[in-house]
Amino acid sequence: MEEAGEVQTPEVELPDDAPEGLRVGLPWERVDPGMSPGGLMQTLRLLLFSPGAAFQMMRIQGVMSAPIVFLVLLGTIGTFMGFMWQSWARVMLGSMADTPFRDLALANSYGVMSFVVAPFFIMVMAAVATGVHHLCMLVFGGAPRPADVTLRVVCYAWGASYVWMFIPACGGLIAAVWGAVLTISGLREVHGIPGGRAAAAVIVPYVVAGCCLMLIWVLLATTMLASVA
Amino acid sequence: MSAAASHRMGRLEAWLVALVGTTALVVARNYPVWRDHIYVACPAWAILGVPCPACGATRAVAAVLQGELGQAFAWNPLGALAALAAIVLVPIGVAAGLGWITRPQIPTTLGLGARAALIVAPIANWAYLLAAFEG
Repeated sequence: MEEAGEVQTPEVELPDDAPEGLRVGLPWERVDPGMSPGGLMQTLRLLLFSPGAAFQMMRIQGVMSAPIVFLVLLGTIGTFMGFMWQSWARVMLGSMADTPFRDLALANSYGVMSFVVAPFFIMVMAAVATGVHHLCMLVFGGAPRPADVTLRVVCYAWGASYVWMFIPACGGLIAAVWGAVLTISGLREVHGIPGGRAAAAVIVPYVVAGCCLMLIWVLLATTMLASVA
Repeated sequence: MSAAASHRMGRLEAWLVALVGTTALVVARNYPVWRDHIYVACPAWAILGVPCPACGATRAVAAVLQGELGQAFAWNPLGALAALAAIVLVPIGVAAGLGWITRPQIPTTLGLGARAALIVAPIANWAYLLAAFEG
């Protein structure tokens, strides 16, 4: 008898260009277990520990509700956990430094506001990231599948990564790195592109952002030195 | 999910996108953020006094939706272009989602010129912002 909650994996290895009919879909996308706690746990387990297999079975056509709900649900829970750890650290450090309660309460109320807007913010950020990754793939040699497939990958990769926010202190960092790794794996499996191109499409935007920040600092330092001289 | 249910969900998603897009358009048209000075200052600009590559993009989008194209391109040319592209592409996407038109084919590869433009455009945009907002 099949163990309860066991992850259903496809019996055949699917080619990268498998048509929609051959993709069984992630448990979250299927009729059974579907968008239920069981489907969520099975999908999470697949994405976190067998990302290659997960993205090989992920649907690449049809409605977008499943991946977006997956992202928003886990993203909101993850943001709440991050906010909770942040508030806890703020109160602990504030009490050691004799910070007035009013200041702590004010800082934590900003956190509550960020939690309230988290679902919208997460969706906007996912859309922006999808555009950037897809454009980068086009720049680096082509994206065989349309942009909505890239959005599905980003939704599942980011959604699964938000689970790491349950870990205090370093959860955000782990989630960011894990999300990038899952996105690379997903783009490679779903678009059928080489791993190097997928990695470039994900990592290059971060490198460019870092370079821009460094350039801003250099510009500022140059301006300050010029004003002193 | 059956094909009929999937079709219904697809139409619902398209209507939701249309609703959100229309709401954004109405809010932006009736609420000029840059005139009321209610916007979040870019950290790069606020702390360092140097514009980041996306500085002015929000105001550019708002200006496009107000119909002030010259002002929009002055704030951030790429932001203005992105807003214009969204105004054209979102209704096309919604119409395709509702099955009113066939889904437009998006190229899967780009020529060398287009790839070079995708790299040069953000650099040129930032260079313009650095020159325009200097000091």
